[in-house]
Amino acid sequence: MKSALDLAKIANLLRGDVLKMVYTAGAGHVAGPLSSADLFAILFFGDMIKFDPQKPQWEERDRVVLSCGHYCPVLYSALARSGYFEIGELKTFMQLDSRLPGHPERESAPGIEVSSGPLGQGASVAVGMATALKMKYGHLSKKEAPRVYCVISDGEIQEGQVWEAFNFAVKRQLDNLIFILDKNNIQIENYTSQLVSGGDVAGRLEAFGLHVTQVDGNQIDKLKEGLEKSKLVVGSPAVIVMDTVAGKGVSFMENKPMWHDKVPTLQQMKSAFEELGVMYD
Amino acid sequence: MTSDKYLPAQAGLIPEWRTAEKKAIRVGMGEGLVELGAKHDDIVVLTADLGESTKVRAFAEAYPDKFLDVGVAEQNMIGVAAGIANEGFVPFAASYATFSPGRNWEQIRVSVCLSNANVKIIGSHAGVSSGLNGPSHQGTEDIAMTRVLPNMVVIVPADANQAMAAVEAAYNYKGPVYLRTTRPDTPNFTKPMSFEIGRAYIYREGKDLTICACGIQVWDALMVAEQLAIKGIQCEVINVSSIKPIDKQRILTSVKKTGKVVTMEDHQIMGGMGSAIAELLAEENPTQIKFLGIRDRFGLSGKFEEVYQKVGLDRSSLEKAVIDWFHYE
Repeated sequence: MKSALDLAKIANLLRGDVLKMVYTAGAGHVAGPLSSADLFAILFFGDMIKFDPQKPQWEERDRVVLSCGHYCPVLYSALARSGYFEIGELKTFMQLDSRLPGHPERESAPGIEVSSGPLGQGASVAVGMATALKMKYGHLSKKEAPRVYCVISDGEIQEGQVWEAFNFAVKRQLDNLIFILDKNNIQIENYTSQLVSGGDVAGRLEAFGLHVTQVDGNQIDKLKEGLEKSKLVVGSPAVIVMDTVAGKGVSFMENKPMWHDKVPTLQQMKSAFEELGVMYD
Repeated sequence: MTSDKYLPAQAGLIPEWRTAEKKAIRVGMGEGLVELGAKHDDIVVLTADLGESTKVRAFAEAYPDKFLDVGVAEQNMIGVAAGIANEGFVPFAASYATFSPGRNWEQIRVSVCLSNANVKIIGSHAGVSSGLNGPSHQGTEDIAMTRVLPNMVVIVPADANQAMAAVEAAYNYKGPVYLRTTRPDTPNFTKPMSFEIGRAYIYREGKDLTICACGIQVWDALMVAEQLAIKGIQCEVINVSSIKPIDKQRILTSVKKTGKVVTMEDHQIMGGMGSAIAELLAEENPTQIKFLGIRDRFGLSGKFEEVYQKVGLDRSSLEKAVIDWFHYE
């Protein structure tokens, strides 16, 4: 079992990968992958989900659905570092014929469950998968039955489709489904709170009937505890609203909408890696 | 499979096809799903609060555990269907064509087609034939919207019998399929037989003119062809129910023989079945084409037959249009 400190170090390794991928490709998204890196460290390295990189299609695996597809560098990094494919393949991000396209494509590389990018779509697909898993594994205990973890972003919940998905998930009592909402308060052109999905997000989710847990998403212990508790919820889907810092870990990127999808310079890369405590090679 | 070569063209029709009993294509689709549900336990049917009018309600009654009504939420319906398909089931998602693929086209594009998810989409009340509810509810762009999507198969059955067979063919095919159905009771004139995706069905042979039709226009095309025969014009009538993939060989063989093509469909001329024929012929065998369909306008409220007269899809308008064009050319 890895300690919170170990997981925090892994999260910074993922952050370093994200920056390298975006720098090498000359494109891609930074702030969200950085704000959610602690989550991905917990999911893939914190004994949180059931998976086997050698058997990506293992029927009883937990499914991780990245609905906010532009976060994909951090997913690709987590998949590579947990053994789905070689870490060296991360260099091919966004390149012609790469298995790691600019937004996720289902099964383009092992471990990529769902095509996503147009916001809101993955939420519905995750609900469909959870519905199907209930049909297939209704006979298994809650502990044994596979779950679906669906990562969504706070900009994404401006899309009505997400709320359609919530409605249906609640109606179907999908307690094998955990949404994780990255509330990093930035989106491509603004602070999310200054547009239309700020305010009491947790309250709105609760009103829709989801089991809501609000945590600091950059505190490994707190987030891990929130996820473990959400697994125990019975009779409704759970959502973890994680308050995070956009661009977390690199001071000059933190809380700045411009870093949503900005490519760092070489100078900025060096300084970012120093802050993250990760080797830049 | 028996080849057309050894069968008279009319082998695909029931003997009394001219006076065939009427049955809505959507009803055939619904019955096909119930039959399929008895044979396969991996079928899931979804709707967005339109189970009765799309006629998938029959499936819901037979297999309530395999039926999901997502409420009025077509975007979510397609995403849920994609997720269910990802887990190995074969979902059929039914709504009105104007909402699905109309409202949820981007969900179909990414969650279904980009993922090559094994989702079948049933678009009912297609065309202005849906009548009374008016243009907002008449799906007249759905063929264009679906056939442009990579990985998507597009099927437009000509009657209830063909719809029943098409639903089974869609089940047996691995990948996204769009099935178009219509509201009014229309002649159920084709012989019950298995449906082959990618195959056109020739129902009448002729040397002067090829009529390519789909949906409920196929029966009209046959009736028009009989009238034209009296006037000395021999039409070959092809049911292009598989719009994508299209039966290049049968269509090209016919067109090379006749040298002229008329297309008939209850859909916008832009992007529809006629456009698919035009794309094929422009590349392989440039041919004069007359497109009969909805010509860049919306439909209107009214009874099916009245609306057809108004937009020129009633049989006498079709007949006149074909004759005028044939003689003018």
